[in-house]
Amino acid sequence: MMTTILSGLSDGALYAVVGLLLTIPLVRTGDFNFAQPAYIVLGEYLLVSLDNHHWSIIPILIVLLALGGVLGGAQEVVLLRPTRGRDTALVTMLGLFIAIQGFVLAWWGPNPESASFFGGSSTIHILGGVLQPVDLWLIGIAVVAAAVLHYAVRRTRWGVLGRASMTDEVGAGLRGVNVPRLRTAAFVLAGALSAAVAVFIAPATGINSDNALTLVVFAFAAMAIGGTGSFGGTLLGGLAIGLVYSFAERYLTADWAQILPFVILCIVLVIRPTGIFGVRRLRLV
Amino acid sequence: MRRASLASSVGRLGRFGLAFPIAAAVIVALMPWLGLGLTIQRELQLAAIYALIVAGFNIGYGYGGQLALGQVAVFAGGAYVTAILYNHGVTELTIAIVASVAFAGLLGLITGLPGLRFADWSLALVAFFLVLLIPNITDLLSAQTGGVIGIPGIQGPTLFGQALSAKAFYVVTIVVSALVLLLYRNLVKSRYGNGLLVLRHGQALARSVGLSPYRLRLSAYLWSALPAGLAGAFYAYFSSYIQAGVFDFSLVTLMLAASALGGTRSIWAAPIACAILVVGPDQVAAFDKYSVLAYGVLLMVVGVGFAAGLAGVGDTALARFSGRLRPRSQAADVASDGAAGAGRSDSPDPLAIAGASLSTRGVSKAFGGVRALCEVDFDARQGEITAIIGANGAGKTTLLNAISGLIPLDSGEVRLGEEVISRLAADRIARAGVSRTFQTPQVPDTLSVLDVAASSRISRRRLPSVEVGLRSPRYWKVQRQDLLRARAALAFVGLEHDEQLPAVALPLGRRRILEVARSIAAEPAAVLFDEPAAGLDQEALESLAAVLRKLRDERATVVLIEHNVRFVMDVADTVYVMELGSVIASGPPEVVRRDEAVIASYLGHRHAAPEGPAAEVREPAKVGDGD
Repeated sequence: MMTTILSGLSDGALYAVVGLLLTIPLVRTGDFNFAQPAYIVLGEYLLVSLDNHHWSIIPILIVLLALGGVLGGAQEVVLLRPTRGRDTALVTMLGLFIAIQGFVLAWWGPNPESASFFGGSSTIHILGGVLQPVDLWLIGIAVVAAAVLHYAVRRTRWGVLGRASMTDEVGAGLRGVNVPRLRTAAFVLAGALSAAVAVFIAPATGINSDNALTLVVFAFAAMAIGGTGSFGGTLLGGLAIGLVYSFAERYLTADWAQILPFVILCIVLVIRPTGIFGVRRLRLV
Repeated sequence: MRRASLASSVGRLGRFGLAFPIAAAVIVALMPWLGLGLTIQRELQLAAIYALIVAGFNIGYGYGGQLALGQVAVFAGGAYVTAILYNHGVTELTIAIVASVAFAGLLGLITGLPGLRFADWSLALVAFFLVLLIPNITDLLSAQTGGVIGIPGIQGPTLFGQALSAKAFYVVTIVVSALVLLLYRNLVKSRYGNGLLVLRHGQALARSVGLSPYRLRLSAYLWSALPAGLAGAFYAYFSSYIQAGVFDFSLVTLMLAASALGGTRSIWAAPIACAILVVGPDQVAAFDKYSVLAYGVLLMVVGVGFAAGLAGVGDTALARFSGRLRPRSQAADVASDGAAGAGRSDSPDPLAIAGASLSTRGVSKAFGGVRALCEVDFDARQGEITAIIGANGAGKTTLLNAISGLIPLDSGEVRLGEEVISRLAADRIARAGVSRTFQTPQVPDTLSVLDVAASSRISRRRLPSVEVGLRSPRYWKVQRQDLLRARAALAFVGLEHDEQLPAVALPLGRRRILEVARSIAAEPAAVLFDEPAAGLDQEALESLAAVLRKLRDERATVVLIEHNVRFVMDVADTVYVMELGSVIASGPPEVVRRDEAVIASYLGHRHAAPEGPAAEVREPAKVGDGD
């Protein structure tokens, strides 16, 4: 029972982390960066390669942060600026998503890989349940990241500028806010963190080029159920999905564990489009 | 009579340049007898099956503007329905097709439902989630679907009781696919496709010309799902083995790539693109390894700038070849036909624009604490130009939006003639006879001038989209009348020589005039103009005034919101002055001009002097009005 709860929480934290990273560009530019979860998968494969060359974790993290940041910035400047506000923007992001998958397939091949966690793999017992160090890390990261981002968006100058440029792009620009730079910065930040978070996600999920789709879909479910555009809501939505998944897997079947989150997602979307915990109204319409 | 229309239908077919696609389909269908190898034959058959899915996708995306990617799930559904029927001893292809297509329609409507409310990326993600779940769903239903193992050994369909050989099945697949593509090509190159493009431009525009966004979107989902179900039925017999693993994200990728390669608004390019993507990897061995990467890059390139795909390349080449750039317009298809229609038209003046009275009583609307409209009583009579003036934020545009139903009223009533229209949805109000223009001209960038003018007629007489696709005699009749009216409207405003131009090529002033043409082509009972004079130069102003006067002389009901006081005083018969949501004065221009309240609040003393030098009359500042 406790193990089921713990594994649900750690799965949920994983989706929440991906969802939080997707929320950064969403609240700062209005774009749902479909390609971003593919950064994670790219980071995972790179992690394996560097690990095989006996790199230690700090240089690996630096490389991943740099790569993800450059990729995110390039995506914003090259692909999104020309398409923003047009209905081809989504196709462009899908294109990058598919291209990264294709690159991974061509470079590393279709076989799944695995990575060990730098924090070890000795089992931890909590309240009669078992989990791995990486699970604990993921839960911690999700909670801390949600709190920090929530605070940053509401209370810092960075957050105010971002909200200003989202509310009134032209107005913010006329008052001297460099809106394009803010947007690029959001993509750089989210891209860097996405690639880096691979060092936690790879040990938890295993490494497979198909994972990108599962990540984006479940992260979206976490966001939509919790409240799209809300960091706190995304955290809670992710944890809720994780718990549903893990209980369905334990007491029903693996099929239902996949299907139930979808059913809940559809119900929430129809009944409460802002999400269960959604306070901020980031319109989906 | 009937035979004549049939003959003319066939005659029209030839004129549309359908000869090439039909010849190509016939040749492909006959290929097994032209020494085609079995491998390539199967690849072409698969390409034809995929082309059905892509054609459906293009209706939803290229025209509907929504990334409805449920097609792969629908395709899987169709294939499973056919395979399960086979397991129950039903090998008749027609039954399998009917059942698969019906199931596809159901799935299409269900997966489309979220799209009625959500942004495109939510819709895409819900669809991806569904595709991700195909193995789980088939596993749950393993008694019927065979679970992980799938359904093997689906052999040889029968057609009307006759067993089909592989060759015959190939021919059936090609012919049916070609016919369906023809139907879809007809569907998109028509009022239906134009309606989707109007909706793609914006909901407000669509509703203002009487199109219901919900209805239109749902029908687009339905139309985009049906061919995927048909493709599923063919695929089950084609592959003879159905398994959940086939219907995965890589198939979505392939469909997207094919659509992008062919051009998202082309139907004919779909089979060519599918053939390239199916046969290509087989011919170039290295392609297999890099195919996913190549698809991704293709989508990025298409998304960023070259959205027209192969069809665009073909069009440009054709245009260079023929030495003129023709807009891709359905109107061009029937241009000569419409001209003939104009010649034998039943009346010399085909536009009926005589209006009905439009009135509001006690109309109020508050946005939060701001009372944008406060007990507004307003009357516009037929054969008159009724103008509303007022400072920024006076509530003019709000009143217009309230009348046309774009914002709901808090209280009060709007009547058109005897009918109360204030409780109707915006598109119903438009269909009831209220036409309007917008402050910023709303002109879809993919339509020709004539198509834009005709777009207000799509909802005037609804036709089932099946009839549009099949080009029934009734379709031609309605189409002829629509184009006749649209041309008359263009002639009315003096745009008749630009009808084949892309509408976006017009300068601002002429786009405004085009909006006027669009609104009167609907033969409205009342026309609302939202600041038509803004940003126009003297020449354009004069032609606008001439058009307005002409409308009045034709006994139309004209409502005009304007900042340009001189223009209003010049053309209007009755002027309403608004301030902070209320009407503070109304009457003939010369009376309003002398009204003390109006002078104090709005005109100022210089404007009030009727003999004042006209050149000094300046319009008040109007930055950002109507937001």
